[in-house]
Amino acid sequence: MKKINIFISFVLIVLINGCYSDTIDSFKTIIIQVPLNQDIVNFGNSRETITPDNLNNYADYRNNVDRIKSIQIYQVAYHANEVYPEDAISQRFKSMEFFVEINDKRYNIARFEEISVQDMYRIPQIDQVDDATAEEMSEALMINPAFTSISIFDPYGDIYYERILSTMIIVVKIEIEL
Amino acid sequence: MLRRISTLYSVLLICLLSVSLSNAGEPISFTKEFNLFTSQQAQGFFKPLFTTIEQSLNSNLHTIAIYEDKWSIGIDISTQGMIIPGSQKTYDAQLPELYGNTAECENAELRNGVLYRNVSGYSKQPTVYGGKSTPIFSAPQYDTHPSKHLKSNAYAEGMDISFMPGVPVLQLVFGFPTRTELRFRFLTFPVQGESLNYFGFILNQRFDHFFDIFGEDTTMGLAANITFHTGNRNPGIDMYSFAAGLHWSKYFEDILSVYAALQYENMGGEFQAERKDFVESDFIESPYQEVRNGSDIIFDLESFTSFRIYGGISKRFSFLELNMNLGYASQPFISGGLTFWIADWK
Repeated sequence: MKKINIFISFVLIVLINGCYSDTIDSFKTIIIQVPLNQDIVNFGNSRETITPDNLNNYADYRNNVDRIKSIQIYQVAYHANEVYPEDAISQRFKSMEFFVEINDKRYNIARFEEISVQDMYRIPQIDQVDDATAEEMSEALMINPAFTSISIFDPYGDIYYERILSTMIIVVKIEIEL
Repeated sequence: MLRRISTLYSVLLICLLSVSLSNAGEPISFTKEFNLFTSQQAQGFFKPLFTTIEQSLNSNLHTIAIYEDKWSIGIDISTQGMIIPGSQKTYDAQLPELYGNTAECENAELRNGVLYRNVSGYSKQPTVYGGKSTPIFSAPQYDTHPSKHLKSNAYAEGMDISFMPGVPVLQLVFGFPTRTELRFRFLTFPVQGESLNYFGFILNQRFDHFFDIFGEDTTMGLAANITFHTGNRNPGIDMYSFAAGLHWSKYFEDILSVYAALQYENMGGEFQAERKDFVESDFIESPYQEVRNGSDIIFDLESFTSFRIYGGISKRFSFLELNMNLGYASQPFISGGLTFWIADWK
């Protein structure tokens, strides 16, 4: 009976220490989600709009850069703020696609179909990046924080907007060592 | 032996005095990644962790209820593990007051593949033990105050923890001929350069013999326990906890003792931290006034646990007593401990 008690005690201690070690590992990092607000101007005379950017432009990245273990684009939202001329608010699109280009490779981060300027005029439209794409981008961003946002609009019929002033909000997950 | 007890009490008194005379030090500061938290969010995010700490402190307050009419001294060490229920993996994060007011902003969240528009009031987000968080995207309707501040917001993710070890406990145990047991804990450790001092006082008193509850049966006992803990780091942490309960045990000769208990407990106090290296321009996009202002993070310390019911076994091997408990509280737990009985005498 004595040997059984000692054995049970030993097993308990090992189990609890094992869980303790796993849990201590869990507390070594924290993941915060941060919205990065990027202002974009889409001109009617070009279907593709290119906006260079850099993670160092954002305080949450800059302030924690020496402790970042990973960074991943999670969700993306887009909304128009101003449209010129005003009646172009009815402009419809077959699709609006958004990409991030890192080291000359393009990654699709959002796509909206059958949408008008009115649908997104000061109303956020949201899409989520698939896990595989997010993982691949994460590896690229850890090497190079510079990236380019690209938006490609495919309108129905003629384009009659001159420009759309908009905001793309990219929510990134940043894993930081504590 | 009495001289040894006096010496021990003197040491304890010196510790208490030195703590009470200590001056205020540097405030606690949250590192930069926590600057996005509001006080309400920090409280909700960390409440399950404080519950684990509170449950740890209120564990192993006793073993068996058969306190003998003799003097005794021992050292006890114990550890616990808590199972984290699903209900403590999320909390309701307070949203900016004007979220949901479509005259000022239009917002939306994509949660588990479902789009919700114009959320207001509170948003379910993960606690420190939870999983993924869900950002809320917002489009201000005007470029003027207050609308212009109502921008998107995102939240910290949890650490996906389902089982959490508690704080190990080391305590001195004193037995008295009045069938009374006193347990005393003292711990001091640095928190960001300043000491956090913790004291715990536990009193166990057997009372079944006063009322002859078990008659001739000397293998059972019934006792009450009352406990007070305090933890203080000046400034920053001011914690107290109180517990009271009843425990019963039965001794099976040459085998072991079993015990069962019911206990009420609580936790209170305050936590305060400043935002380290706060730069106003870095947080201008936050929809929360508190974050834009860089205000200190201040919240009340609370625990989910009010009651626990538990049972255990205890086995004595000469000077060594081994015990193990299983119990139900807001975080169901398993705990185990060892008591080294240094001496006992009549």
